[in-house]
Amino acid sequence: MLGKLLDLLAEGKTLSQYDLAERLNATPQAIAASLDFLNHAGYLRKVCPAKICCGKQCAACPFVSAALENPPALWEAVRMKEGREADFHAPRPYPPLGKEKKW
Amino acid sequence: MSCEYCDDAKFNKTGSGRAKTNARVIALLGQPNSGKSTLFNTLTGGHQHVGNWPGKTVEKKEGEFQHKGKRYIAADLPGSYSLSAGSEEEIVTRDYIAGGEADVVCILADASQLERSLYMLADFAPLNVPAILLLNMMDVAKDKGITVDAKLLEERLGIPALPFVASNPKDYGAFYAAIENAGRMIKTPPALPDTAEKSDVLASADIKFKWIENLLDGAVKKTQESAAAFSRFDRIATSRVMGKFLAIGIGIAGLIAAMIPLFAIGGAATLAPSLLGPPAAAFLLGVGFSPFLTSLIVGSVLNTFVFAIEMAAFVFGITFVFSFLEDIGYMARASFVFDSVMSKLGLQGKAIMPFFVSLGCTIGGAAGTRIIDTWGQRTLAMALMWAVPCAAILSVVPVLANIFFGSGTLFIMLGIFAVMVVHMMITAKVFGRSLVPEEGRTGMIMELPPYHKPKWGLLFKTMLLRSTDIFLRAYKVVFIITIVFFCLTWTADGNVENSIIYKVGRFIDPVSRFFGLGWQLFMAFIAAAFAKEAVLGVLSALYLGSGNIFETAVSKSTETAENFGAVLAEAISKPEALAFLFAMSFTVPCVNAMASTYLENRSMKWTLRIAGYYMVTALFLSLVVFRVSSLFF
Repeated sequence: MLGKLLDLLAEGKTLSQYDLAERLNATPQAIAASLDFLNHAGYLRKVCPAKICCGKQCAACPFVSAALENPPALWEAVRMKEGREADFHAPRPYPPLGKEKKW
Repeated sequence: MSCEYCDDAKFNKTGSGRAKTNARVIALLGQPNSGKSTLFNTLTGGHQHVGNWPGKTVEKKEGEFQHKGKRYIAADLPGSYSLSAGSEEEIVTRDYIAGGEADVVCILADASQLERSLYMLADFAPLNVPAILLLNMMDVAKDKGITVDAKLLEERLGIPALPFVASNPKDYGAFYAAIENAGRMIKTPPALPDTAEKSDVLASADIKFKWIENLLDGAVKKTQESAAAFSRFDRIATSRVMGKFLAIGIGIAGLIAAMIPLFAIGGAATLAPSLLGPPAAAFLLGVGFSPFLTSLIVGSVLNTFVFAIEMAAFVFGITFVFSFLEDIGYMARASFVFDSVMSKLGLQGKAIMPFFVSLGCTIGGAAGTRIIDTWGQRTLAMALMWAVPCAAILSVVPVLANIFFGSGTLFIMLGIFAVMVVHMMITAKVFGRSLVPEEGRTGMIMELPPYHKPKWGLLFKTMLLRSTDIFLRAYKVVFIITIVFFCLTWTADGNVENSIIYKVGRFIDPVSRFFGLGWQLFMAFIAAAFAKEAVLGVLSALYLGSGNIFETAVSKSTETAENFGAVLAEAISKPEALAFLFAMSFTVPCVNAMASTYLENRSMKWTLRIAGYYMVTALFLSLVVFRVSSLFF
């Protein structure tokens, strides 16, 4: 099942745990357990919810969206089934502030 | 550090120590947050020894307790996901158990999510060490409507399986009895393949998960299954096509609901200038204030009060709608169904989250793009995000639209959302080619929260807090801008045509007229790029300050701007108003959003390029809206 789950991710779509449960003929709880394992084994990573809103920059602004408070957990592939890294996840280094480069 | 209660030697040489003290060693094993430390602290109290495992940086915790005259040593093993020896904690734990240091291993599992927490047990099972399974957090499982048949699990495993609540020491009777008599091992561990195939971690894990599935089959039941109708709703809510229509429908219904407080509370607030204005003006004039100062104070304070109340009323409604949807678990589904739109715009699916954040505040949305991996995608996401109407736009636009279009405000709002979609598609085409070259895309999993009842108390508290925040901020910004612009209209001779602002305005008027905006509206448009609330202050000062408020406060007090709305509706045509509403909605969000974008993409060139693009497109939009709407109004 774990291999099939990674194959589904390689198709490039966004799926919910319910989609995965239906396609893999498993319970959502079993899918949640699989996600935990794949995260632990380095195949998936959980998108850090703190990054979605650091809570600092927009703290001065009273217009706060409901989506800030309890974002859904997002998982993304960092390693494919065969073990190679998902190439688009290599972030480019950022230049220091004020020292722009041509990108 | 030495321990008063015990001697270090006993704990550091567990085996010999055990022989010396004749104590039974209980190892506590479990994943993080399984309740291990709670159990350990309850058992050992202050009789603990904390150190490091030899040669490791991993913390070693041991303690001693007695029960019915027998002495026990409890070892709190490091919390880890499994025993697969992937981390230092896992190596320490595995070596300790495999080395036979413990007489019995107590494995703690979270009974409310056994599928997740039994992986440790599946990893432990082949080690052939006496064990007890503690089904911890049974109270939480019960609250979730989950029943666990511990007897069946015990039968299948061959070791004691005890329902348990680690935080409740009164519940420890069965646990003490079990550790006293423990000695059984798991009878049928997962049938793992030969060594050669063991290296395939996915295949091994699949076998362990199958073992867990068989173990739990029929032993775990959910008594509070979702109602069939609810499941049907969720099927529609997460459907790629129907889900979008449903989300749009709910959004429109939400907007209508949000306008109820605006019409009710805001409507009542608009009476304030005509009720309080004349007596206040008369009082100030009576105590010797000059007419100019009187009109400034009365006009600014009262009109600002009305704007602030109207904005707060709308935010009160909109916060209720969005917080309610978030609270019951629907917002995550809305973002899920719109994820595919992101790929059409050239972005990763996870970019949908910052976009939802930007519905609240563009600054937060820009900061949220940190979850996106590449610079180009982040910059493009921020460029597109500026088109998303933030809460400031969503609170200022209804206030103004209500003045000109009354119940047609809803259609203005829907029109803004429709233009947002087109704007984003065009912007993605304009900037996409240089920012986001063709890239690979892999999928993403969005873990949708279950539906649940809203927390009403928290919901109303949030609504009140946000509305108060908006009221204070709006009052502050609008008041200051009003004062500044009001002063710019001042002249020594009382002739507004000699004021600086009027001269500048007349100078730019021919150009601004081309875009469908009178010079007053054009100045408000420029102010919108600094802060959306400033628009109300500028309009208030320019339309009421150019002589009108002076007259209303001093001589025609009963019509005191029966308020600002009446003056505006008379002075600005509907096509102009419509053009302005669209222009201010799609110009630069605010100075802070610009700064935030620069801080996130660290390119002044791209930040200014995006800002320039938004100013130009907003004016173009104004031109189109004005020309088209002139045909109808």
